[in-house]
Amino acid sequence: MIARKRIATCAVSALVMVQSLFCTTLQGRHTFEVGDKMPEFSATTLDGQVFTYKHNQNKALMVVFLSPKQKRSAQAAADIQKIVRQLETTAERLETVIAVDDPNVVDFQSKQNGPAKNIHILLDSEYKLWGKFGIIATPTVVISDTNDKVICVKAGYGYDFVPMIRAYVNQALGLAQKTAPENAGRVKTVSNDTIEARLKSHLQMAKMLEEKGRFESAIAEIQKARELDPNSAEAALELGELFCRAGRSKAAIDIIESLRVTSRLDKSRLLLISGWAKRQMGELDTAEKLLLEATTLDPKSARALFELGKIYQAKQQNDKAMESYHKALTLIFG
Amino acid sequence: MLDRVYKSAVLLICVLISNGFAVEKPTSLQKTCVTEECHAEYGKKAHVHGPVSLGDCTACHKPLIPEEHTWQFERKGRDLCEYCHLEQAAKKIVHEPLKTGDCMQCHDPHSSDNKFLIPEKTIAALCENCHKVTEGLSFLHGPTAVGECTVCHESHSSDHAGLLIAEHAELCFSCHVIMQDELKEYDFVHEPVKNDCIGCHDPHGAGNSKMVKNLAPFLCYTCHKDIQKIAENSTYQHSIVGDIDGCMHCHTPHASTVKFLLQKDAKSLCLTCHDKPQNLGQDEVLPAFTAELEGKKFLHGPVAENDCSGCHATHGSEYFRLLAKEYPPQFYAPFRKENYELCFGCHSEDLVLTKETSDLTDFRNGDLNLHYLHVNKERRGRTCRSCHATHASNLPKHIRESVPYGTWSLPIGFNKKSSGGSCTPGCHLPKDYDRKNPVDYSAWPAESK
Repeated sequence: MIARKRIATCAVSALVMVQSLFCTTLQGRHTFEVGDKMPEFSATTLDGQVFTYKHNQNKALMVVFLSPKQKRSAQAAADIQKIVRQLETTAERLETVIAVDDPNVVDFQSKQNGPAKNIHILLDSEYKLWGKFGIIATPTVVISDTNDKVICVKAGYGYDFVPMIRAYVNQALGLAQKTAPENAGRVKTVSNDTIEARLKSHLQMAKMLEEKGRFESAIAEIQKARELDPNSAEAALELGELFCRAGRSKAAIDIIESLRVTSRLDKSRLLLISGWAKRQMGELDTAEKLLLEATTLDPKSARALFELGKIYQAKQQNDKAMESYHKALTLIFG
Repeated sequence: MLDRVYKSAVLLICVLISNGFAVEKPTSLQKTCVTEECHAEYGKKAHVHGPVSLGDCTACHKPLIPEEHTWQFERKGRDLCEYCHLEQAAKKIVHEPLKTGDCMQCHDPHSSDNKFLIPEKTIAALCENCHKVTEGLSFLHGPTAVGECTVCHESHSSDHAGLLIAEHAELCFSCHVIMQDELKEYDFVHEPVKNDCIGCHDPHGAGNSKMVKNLAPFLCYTCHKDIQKIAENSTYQHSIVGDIDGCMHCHTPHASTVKFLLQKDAKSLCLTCHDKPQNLGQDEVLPAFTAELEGKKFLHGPVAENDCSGCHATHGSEYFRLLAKEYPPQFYAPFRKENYELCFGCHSEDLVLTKETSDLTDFRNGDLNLHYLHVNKERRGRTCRSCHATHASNLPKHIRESVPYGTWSLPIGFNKKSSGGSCTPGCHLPKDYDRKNPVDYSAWPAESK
């Protein structure tokens, strides 16, 4: 028992020694690394309140060092406020401190409609906080998570300031995001000349033309889409339906013959096209079978029900035809 | 003379023959005008106007004197058509022919082989009679290319300028749907993309595949006049900015995840060219930037952050090397705050204005600010470049290993210690500094203090 106590005492002493050595080193360098604890501090805000940051409050902290004399600092301040504003209610778990070396910060606030929630502007004209954090340039942003661990030290106001800071704030608050913070600065641009985008444009235009009853032009658009991506199931299915609409049943059958689809709705559309085309070709029994299968896979296919109605009408099964038409109309008009 | 007589005789014979075959005009009211004998062609085309197909000519024509086979329109101007075709002109902007009641400029009132009773085979051919929008264009916008003007335009009236079927951007996004979806994910969207695609693009076509109204930089300059001024009038110009499509080397025209609509991170963009020496003309060659960074352990902040524009004005500058602000190019300079505007863009000016500090910098002996001591001198103040390498070095704080001083490479001999450091430079005797236990310099010769 005594031996255990001794071991424990030695361990604690060793830990204290290591910690004091570590802290001395930190103090000497006036800095810290990512992964270290955020330094605790206390400072006066511009409106005379004392802001104190202590560990174990279960809050994330963002400290932003700015110099109001610098244009880039003013822009950074605006961005920071925007980022915090976008957090909405989650912002309550984040304390933001803007430490300025000059009290002339009117611009920072007037550019926004009042500062966002939980933003405290501290005056650090004697560079005390600056020294404690080892800051050498502005803007510098230091972010710690709810466990008080520093997760980001970012100096400068570069092109990637907004995505990087937002990503680290999200990480600090434990919010889910698509990109890892270290990759948030990777540049992505919009391009509407990718094959996917061009294909989509042709399909959309075909739909507009179809609505105007200009089937041949719509068919030409979808054929352009298919030239871009011959394997596009969506384009093939659209084309098949259009051929049916235009009364070109043989062409519709040709298009879907070699088509392989996986989703339930696509399978239903494929059956619809086959059934629709067969109905036009006078193969009523085959068409009926295909269309019934289509409505099983997609009971909301108004066109399949309408085509079934036509088949029953042609077979003079008027009650069934009426029922099918009624179902189709109900789906469309509610 | 004989020729004229001959022509007149032929004409006379033709008239006599045609009268012989002609059907007599009825001199009393008829049930319909479209019969096998009279006006038969009206009923034989693919598309026939409703009243004509019903044989009800009086829907539009009112017999005047039946004996003389004369008639007048049932109503005047566009009222004639609008009596049945309600609300075609109900919206704010009305197509000119409709406004003036000249519906027949675009429609045959009886019949046509074309849909909508238009006299031309396609809508585009009809529109082109007045609107020559594709003349001389090498690349046509999809709807224009297929002659489907009504994909974008209403033919009668619209609530939107140019008789468009929707507001500009909304209309474009109805086809360019991927871009609209994507835009939601971007923080930085070019302003025209939000509501004015035709600010940059010609919606009918252009002489270039992107269908822009003009090539960059000229197109960009129509709005970015400040950049044009810098690019064209600066003392130091960035040659690529003025190149055709030069803007597109660095910027994307629609949206980017980063500021300034950059295509890539700033350093990658710069290294597209500056990974090799650049000839600046007049026998001056700018060394490859990559060579300066190769194997270096300590990078200047903006270099580490891939942000060359932290110090360089990318479009043009009044300062050498396209620097954004003033920065002394020499080793010595009398201290003036204005000389260091570039550095003060990020670093506090108090760094060289405050003689004593306990927190502002680590380069101090006790509280004596050694930055102040070196730089803030009336005559031979050391400039930042005397001790710091601008882009990168192998010493902490990107301190130089040596500095060119005339023809001599002046060593600095910096050695970092836990609470200070030491220098063994060519400038003065070897010296230490210590933040905790300041070195006593009082015994040093005045020249070296």
